[in-house]
Amino acid sequence: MSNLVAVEATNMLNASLAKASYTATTSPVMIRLMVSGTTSTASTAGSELTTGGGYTAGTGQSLTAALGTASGGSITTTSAVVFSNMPACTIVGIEVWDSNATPVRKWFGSITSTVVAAGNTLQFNSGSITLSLS
Amino acid sequence: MSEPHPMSECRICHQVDDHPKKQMANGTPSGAIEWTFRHHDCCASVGCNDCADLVSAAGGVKGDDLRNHIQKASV
Repeated sequence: MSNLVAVEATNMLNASLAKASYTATTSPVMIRLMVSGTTSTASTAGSELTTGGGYTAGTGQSLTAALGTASGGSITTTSAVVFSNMPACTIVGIEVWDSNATPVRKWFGSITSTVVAAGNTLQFNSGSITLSLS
Repeated sequence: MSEPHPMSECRICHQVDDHPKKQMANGTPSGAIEWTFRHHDCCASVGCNDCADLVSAAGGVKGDDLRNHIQKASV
């Protein structure tokens, strides 16, 4: 997933080029699941799966806990991210948000869409999510 | 009448049915995600502790009975 939200890209550019201090991300960063509808773009959040079963919209599951060590301009999950007791849905993408009181969207990406049966466990295995800047 | 559940093939036993499963995203060299499915009992049989715990807590039931257990357990 190499799609950085525009606000975050600006934030990083300013910090990298000593134009302004970086506005820190509030840990942990969370994965939210996106369904068909509004497509995620750099400036617009996608359509998130609504709360149902074991999924809570606006929260998702922690990505921070699953991430390995960044190297060579990218970082990959080294453990699974698990959503248990899913509601029936079709997932088309994911977004990464921080845990600020008003959560800030950081990354987004489309994935191979998948139809999910009610009650299924949806698991992103170790190594299945990579965020890259190079 | 509730919506029918989608059919999927268990990667372990290769049975195609609508039973609840663990649905796993696997990374591929191209960067795309490949989805695979496993019955929870099949997943437990190859060493998944989470699925073993789930199946045990449900008393070993399968299919709609297992789905009902999963959905009730999280309420």
